[in-house]
Amino acid sequence: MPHSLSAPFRLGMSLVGAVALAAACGRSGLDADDLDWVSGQQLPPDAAAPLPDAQPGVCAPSEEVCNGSDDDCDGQVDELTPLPCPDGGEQYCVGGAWSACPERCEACMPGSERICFMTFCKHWAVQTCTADGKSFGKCHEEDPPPECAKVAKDKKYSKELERCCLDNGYCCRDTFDLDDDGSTDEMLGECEDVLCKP
Amino acid sequence: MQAVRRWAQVAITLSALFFQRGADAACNRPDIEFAVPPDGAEAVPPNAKLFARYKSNAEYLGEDITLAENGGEPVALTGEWSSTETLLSVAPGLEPGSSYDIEWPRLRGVNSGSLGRGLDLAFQVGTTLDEAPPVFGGLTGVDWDVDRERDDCTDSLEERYLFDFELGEASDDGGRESLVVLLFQTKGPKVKGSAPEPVSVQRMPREGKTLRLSRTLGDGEGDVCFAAVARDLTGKVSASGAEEVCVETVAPPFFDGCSVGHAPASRGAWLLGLALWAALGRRRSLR
Repeated sequence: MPHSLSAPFRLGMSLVGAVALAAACGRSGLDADDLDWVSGQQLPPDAAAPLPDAQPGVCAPSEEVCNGSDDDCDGQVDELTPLPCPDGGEQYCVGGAWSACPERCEACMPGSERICFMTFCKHWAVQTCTADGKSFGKCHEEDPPPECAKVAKDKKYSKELERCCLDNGYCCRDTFDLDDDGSTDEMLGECEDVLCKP
Repeated sequence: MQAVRRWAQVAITLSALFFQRGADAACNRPDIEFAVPPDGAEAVPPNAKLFARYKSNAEYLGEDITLAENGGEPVALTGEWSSTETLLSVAPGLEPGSSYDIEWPRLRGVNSGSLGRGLDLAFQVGTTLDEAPPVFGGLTGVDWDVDRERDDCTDSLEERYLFDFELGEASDDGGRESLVVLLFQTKGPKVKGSAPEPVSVQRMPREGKTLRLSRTLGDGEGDVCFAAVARDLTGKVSASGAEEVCVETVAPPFFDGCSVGHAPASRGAWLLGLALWAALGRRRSLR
């Protein structure tokens, strides 16, 4: 073996290596003072203590309000007691805002009817509310009542016909915006049994 | 043969009349929709309030709610009526460990002279009070479609968006089966301002089942969002309202566009081709 080393030499080299390794590993247990040596900066004295409020990701407790956030830092968002509504029912905090108060139905009382107007033939028609109260069905042509028959014949599809409908105690679709509020899908007149009022 | 034909005509006419009358009656009949606690509920908390939800045209005129404890003499109670929610409730003060039979009354309707359906059910009271609000994961997913059904009141096809919601875990110390889900539309064409619109009150469906909501085409088209809270028998609500689910819908009719042109030939097309081929063959043979 031309390159073989003697046993005492190998033992000596092993000892030197072990001492060097131990010295290097001794520096692996870093402490606060060591950081001065590493980066020239120092950590807070106790890393487990709460960080100042300004730090991002840290909750600063405040009163819970309806805004889609966990204001009181309890892990729950918008856990608020419902608010009573003046006509019954309650408002709930959903989607970060207080809900509207409940209404008895969405569009009309199921099965109720209102008068609507058509551009052709008799010009007088009836619309029935759907069984789920969410919308009215189609306008179905009907003979106008005697009190509006002449208006329907002479004025046809007109403001005058809607006025006649209102003046004679019907619930009428405001096709001609007689109340001038920009809406032509609402209803005017005697609509107590048609509207979703409590 | 003539007699059989006549009897068949009579039977068809009578059945048509029967079904027509049935449809008229169902149109605006102020039936009960559900009640909580439901039939067969166990461990109902002694501090529970009992609720019955009626259709939107129901009118409460002080009809009796009858309650019998352990099969004894029924006691008539007067309920509390919320006309905006058409919700009848009563807080009888239940005896721990007792069993009860309750008869929810048949109510009259605003536009209907006939009585709606009531409900009889039984439940068992536990010993633990309901003190904590429900824990509910809220809405976790949504799927949608358009449905066209013949409406009982208008007697015509009415189109509705149908939304099927997947729900998160739900539990309550008063029992999961007695929870009510309140659904809200938080975004949509007719949501006024920023105030979410209450759109449905339903019983909490069984675990793994979806919750269905119908909306008109005007209310459900485009970017729409929904949220839900669970309410227990003492009126406490879950903190799940912040969990919204959103979806974008499109208005019917739906077209597949050019994909129609690539569709494989249907059986009808084959039959039509065969008929044409036969007709041409016959014409040739006639010559």
